[in-house]
Amino acid sequence: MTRELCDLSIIELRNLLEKRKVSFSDITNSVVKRINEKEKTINGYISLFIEQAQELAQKLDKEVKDFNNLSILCGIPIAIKDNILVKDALITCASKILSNFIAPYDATVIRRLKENGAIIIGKTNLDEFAMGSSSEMSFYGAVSNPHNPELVAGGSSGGSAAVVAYGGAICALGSDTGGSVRQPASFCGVVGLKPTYGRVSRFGLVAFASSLDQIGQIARTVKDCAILLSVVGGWDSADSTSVKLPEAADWWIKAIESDINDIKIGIPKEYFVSGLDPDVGKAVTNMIKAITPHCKEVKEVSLPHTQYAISAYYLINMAEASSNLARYDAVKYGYRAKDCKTLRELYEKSRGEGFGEEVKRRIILGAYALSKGYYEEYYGTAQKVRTLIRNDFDNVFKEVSVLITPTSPTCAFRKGEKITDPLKMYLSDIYTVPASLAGLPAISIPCKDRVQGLPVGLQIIGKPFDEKTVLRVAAWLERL
Amino acid sequence: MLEQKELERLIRLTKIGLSETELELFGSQLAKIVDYFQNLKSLSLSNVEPTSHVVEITCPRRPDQKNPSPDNTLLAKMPWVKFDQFFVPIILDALSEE
Repeated sequence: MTRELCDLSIIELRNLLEKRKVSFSDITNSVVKRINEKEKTINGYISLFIEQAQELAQKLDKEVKDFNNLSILCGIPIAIKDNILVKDALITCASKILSNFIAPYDATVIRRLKENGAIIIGKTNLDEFAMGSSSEMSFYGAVSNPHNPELVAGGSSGGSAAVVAYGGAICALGSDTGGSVRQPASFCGVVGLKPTYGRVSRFGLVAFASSLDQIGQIARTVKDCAILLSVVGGWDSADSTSVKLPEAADWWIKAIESDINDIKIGIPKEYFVSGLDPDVGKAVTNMIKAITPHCKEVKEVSLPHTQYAISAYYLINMAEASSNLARYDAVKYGYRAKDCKTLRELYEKSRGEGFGEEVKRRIILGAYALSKGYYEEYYGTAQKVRTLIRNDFDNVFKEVSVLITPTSPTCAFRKGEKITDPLKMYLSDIYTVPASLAGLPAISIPCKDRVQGLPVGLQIIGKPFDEKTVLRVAAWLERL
Repeated sequence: MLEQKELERLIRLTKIGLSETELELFGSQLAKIVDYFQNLKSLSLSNVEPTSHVVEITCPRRPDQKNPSPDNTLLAKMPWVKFDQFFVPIILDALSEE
């Protein structure tokens, strides 16, 4: 198949722009054309800003005379998950309760993208309030997998991963609370990075589970992910959990091209056990075999509390969600049920009609975990287990530079397969939630082998704020 | 693990109206999830400190200066605005009822 402009990487597009072989409008129009061809089947977008995007591209064509000192993201069409605020655009979180809400300001990541001249092409579909692993639980309908529309795209950033995979954007932002960037990237065959908690400002990201949420980058190459992170990352006075770091951001882009002969890789034995699809395991193992002769050491390591990660993660996630989503009371904004006579009725009817099933389940269970008599037993216990899981990682990172695991136990599954069994859906996050609990950087890249034509994701987990090494190993594997 | 009475208490706490069908469905689903969480009870945690956040949280403070209020363009984006104010249902009677 011929690659069109919408299939190229940021670097390739910039080369063509600098050589005047293509215009900014050519790039945007190519993306728009692909959206028009695919979107009906995929349903990756909730809102599209095609006219504004084309106008901005035309403006850049007229105004840009010199590419020196021009951001590499200038004129690049980018998709944004619809839980990140873009001023004056709808921000739905794929929920009925926010279906009429216009964002009053830009998220910090959006401000930085706009300052760099990036073109925001649209807002992408997701599981409602980012709660899900399949992007089926959206008020706007399920997202389909570009490799087979009968399969899920993964979630919750399924829209962002799917549109990048089919060429409906060059790259995208998603959010990752327990794997919501990595798992859909794995299912759709693209690269998905969850930076260290604190690396990217959460200001303007709709809060779900605040101690876990992090804005992540989705692209078709590791380098494009690094470029996107270098622009949106960095300390922000508006987010007290963002971290001041001494390094400049652009060192990753050069560093990731270097060798890996100083790298020690750990393979956690708890990630290669029953429950892992043998073909997925084989695809990941083949990648490990290929990298082994080129790095300093590959060794088996142990993360003994992995089996407790799902319980700890979901208890913390639900407790924080229950607290964060209490703000949707139908008083100042959002969906308001009709004909309510009392305040209680207004709350109950609006929240009952406005939230979808999964969101209700998590709010109710979160309230249970936080309520009198159960707090220590559930929420308190989960926080202690979180410490054990962090300690496991601290211990292995004394011996190795990164860990390699599968991203998900399976390839993309059929729509409807897990939607009626929430616990089954939660268990599919087993390989991504531990790094989230520990706040570590992790990336999913496609393996060289596919399983029945479907992409398989390989996850690389690194030390806190060591995205550089994670990206370096990912880029090396990508070159295989 | 999750009795009907408990579920009703949680619905009151979270102020989420559930239909009869949802009540029935959630009763069994939530019980199954809570049962799964029991696996944490096999761990000995008496000497383990809890982690609430993986980064050190500081409380940033801005100078104690007057800042302009958001202008009316912000209100204009909200539903149910009348006379530059939020229009809310009558709540005082309802509050006494609470």
